Amino acid sequence: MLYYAGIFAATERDPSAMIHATRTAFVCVFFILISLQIARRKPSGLLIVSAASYAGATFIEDFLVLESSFFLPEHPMAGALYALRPLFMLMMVYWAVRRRSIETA
Amino acid sequence: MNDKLSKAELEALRASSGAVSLNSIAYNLHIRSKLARGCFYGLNVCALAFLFVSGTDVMEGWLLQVNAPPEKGVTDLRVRTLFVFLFFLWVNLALTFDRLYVEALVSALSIYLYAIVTRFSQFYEHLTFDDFWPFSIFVLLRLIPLALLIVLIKEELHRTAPDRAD
Repeated sequence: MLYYAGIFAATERDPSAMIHATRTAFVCVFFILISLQIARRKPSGLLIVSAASYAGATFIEDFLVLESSFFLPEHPMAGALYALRPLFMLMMVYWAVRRRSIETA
Repeated sequence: MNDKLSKAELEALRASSGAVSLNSIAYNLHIRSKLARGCFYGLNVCALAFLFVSGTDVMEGWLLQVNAPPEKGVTDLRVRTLFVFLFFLWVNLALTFDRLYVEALVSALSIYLYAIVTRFSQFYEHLTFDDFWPFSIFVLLRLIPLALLIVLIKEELHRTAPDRAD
């Protein structure tokens, strides 16, 4: 999620500010919903699956569509977070698999 | 041959030699509600319609009727087609083998919501009152698969919910 902190550095050269607003809103909603479910001790596996899928979709969107890369980090910290994105995705997938295994057991 | 098989093995053989395989769409649709079956068929029709239409210029031609801005910040049509194809495969295979079905539906819903929001945000400051009817059809066409996905998830969660302790 910290990766999206770089959004503020990239706004100037962004072709569309709306895409950033949408992504930030989705990440915030997922973060709040998952945190709430964990705090309430309710099942959160499906929400984590949704968040992992969303992370995968945006990853494909950014890296496969070469002619329209939506996010180009300029700040050094944003660059580091950007490089760690595949690791973040793996963590999300692992978390989703573990959580669903526990909840469906 | 019978002498070489135990009673349990014979029972297992009889169970697996039925007309309908447990790993089939027919069986796994049969054990679900009528509503879930209808929604599943509807979702498949929507996905197939999109896959057929995306190969033509029909959607681009139709968008010319609406006051559509250039496709900046909107996911490329090839990527959208790839996602629809992947989820079409995943949902159908998941139902066939009755594994990861609800996960497939939830993932599809998550990405579809994202696609809808990015697509609509493209329009919000460009629409005029003249675009009302073309845009309404545009919205309706996207809300149908969304509603089908939500109903399917609700039905599946209801079906797999643990029994209440009496």
